[in-house]
Amino acid sequence: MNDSVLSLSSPVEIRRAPRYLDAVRDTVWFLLAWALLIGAWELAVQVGWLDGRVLPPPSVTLPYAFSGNAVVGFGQQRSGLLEALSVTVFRVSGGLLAGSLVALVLAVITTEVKLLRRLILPLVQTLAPISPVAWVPFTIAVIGIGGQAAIFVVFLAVLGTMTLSLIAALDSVDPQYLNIARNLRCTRRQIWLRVRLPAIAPSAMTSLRMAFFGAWMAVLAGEMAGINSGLGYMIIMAQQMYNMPLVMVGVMTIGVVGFVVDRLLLLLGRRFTGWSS
Amino acid sequence: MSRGATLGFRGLGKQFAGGTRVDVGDLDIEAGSFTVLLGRSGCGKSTLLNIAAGLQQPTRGQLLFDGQALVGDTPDSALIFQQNNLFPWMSAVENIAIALLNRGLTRANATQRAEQLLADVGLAEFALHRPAALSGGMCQRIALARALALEPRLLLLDEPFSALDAQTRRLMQEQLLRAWNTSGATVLMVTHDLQEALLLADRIVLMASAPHGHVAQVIEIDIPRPRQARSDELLDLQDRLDAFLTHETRLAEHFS
Repeated sequence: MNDSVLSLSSPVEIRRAPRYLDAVRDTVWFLLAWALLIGAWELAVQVGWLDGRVLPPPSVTLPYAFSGNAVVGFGQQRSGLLEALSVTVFRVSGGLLAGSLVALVLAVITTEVKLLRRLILPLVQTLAPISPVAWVPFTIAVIGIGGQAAIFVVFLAVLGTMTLSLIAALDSVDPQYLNIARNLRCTRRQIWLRVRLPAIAPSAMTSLRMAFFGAWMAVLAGEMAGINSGLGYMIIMAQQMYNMPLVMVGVMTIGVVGFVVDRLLLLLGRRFTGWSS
Repeated sequence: MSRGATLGFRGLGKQFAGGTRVDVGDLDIEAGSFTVLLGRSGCGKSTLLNIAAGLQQPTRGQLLFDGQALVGDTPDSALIFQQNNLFPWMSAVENIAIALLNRGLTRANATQRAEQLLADVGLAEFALHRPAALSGGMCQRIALARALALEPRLLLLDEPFSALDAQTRRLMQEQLLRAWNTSGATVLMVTHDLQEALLLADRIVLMASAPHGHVAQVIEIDIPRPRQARSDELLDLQDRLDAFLTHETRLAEHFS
């Protein structure tokens, strides 16, 4: 055997930075970006470019957030940050779960029964673009101002778009997979459980993340527009009492929690749909 | 070992909604024979194969399976396409096991048998890999192993090796011939590769696309196997077929 053959059989070693270093690098940039913004904000208030009473600086807002005094209202109406947050998160989860499940059922039905597709699809297409906030007065009139109303608003916010995107995902499943499944003598139930649903899982997870954003905005808008509890309500009350640090804390909490939940959904999606990457 | 099935096309044709039309007419596929459907793209060879698989229905005439008019999916048939034969969300072993489960094996038996089949094609160590982590050739070998696990009497192949490199393709062709010999199944295979058709087929069904898809000629290939791609006999035939297909393409593509 000569040298050239030997050199063919020994592959070139490619050095690549390990995966975790990418994650570390991303985290460093993430923290740096926020440190810069917070620093600029603090500086702008200290120098006098921004009015610290309207836009309290981080040196005021951050200690306030963890002081335990981040509370609004009195007596029965009294509501702390964590309490308001947990109420809101519960509403979003409930509405998102219910909306996604009903959307999945609708998508399956409209894929299986063409007659029902013709009946259901036009309704979903016209109801989907309605802003969830527009449903709030209707919801309050029908259900009231409690938690159920908030869940219902989230449900409506999720249902239309989620149904449309699931139907689109099911329609775009490669028909060849269905042909192969038929050839392998899969039953209708197996085709759903082993072929169609796994095939749409990646895009369904993306739709779920988008739906969460919609739901997160809908619940806050609902709470601001008359449902008298939760994070949105807390911010509106804080504004009316001119408690600007609390307004800022509320806004930042919305951002942080929204970000964390989105990342969790992303990780969950990767866990279940690893094959598609 | 199951004997191959016979197929009979009787005055068969398909008219598509867009106006395209494929005429098969009368065509008989003998039990245990190796028939290749050859033609340029758009001549209806895949349509013919899909009708044979029961995936598409003819608008005229009928298809006889073992002499019986066929309704619905073709029994005892196995299909292999050019790519995406394996479900990307399942591992190699799961992809085979799902076919066996549907033949009534228990989960444990199906998995064990699937692992055995993978070992037979030399891919035992890739049992838990997903298709994305395997090469195109490995995926097609797994697809072939799965097809054979169904013990088909009719093996339907739609350009199964077109996406593979030349060397892998040649090895796969040899493997297919061995599988055909041992299984005794009737093989119907679509290709646009002239040499592939000549190396494998008992009979080439030459299809043309102008003015609409139809069977132009049926050519018996009596050359004994293993065939040599560079033998005079094969090269002669290849020139003839190439001239036909070039003329065909000139017409269809409006070359002057």
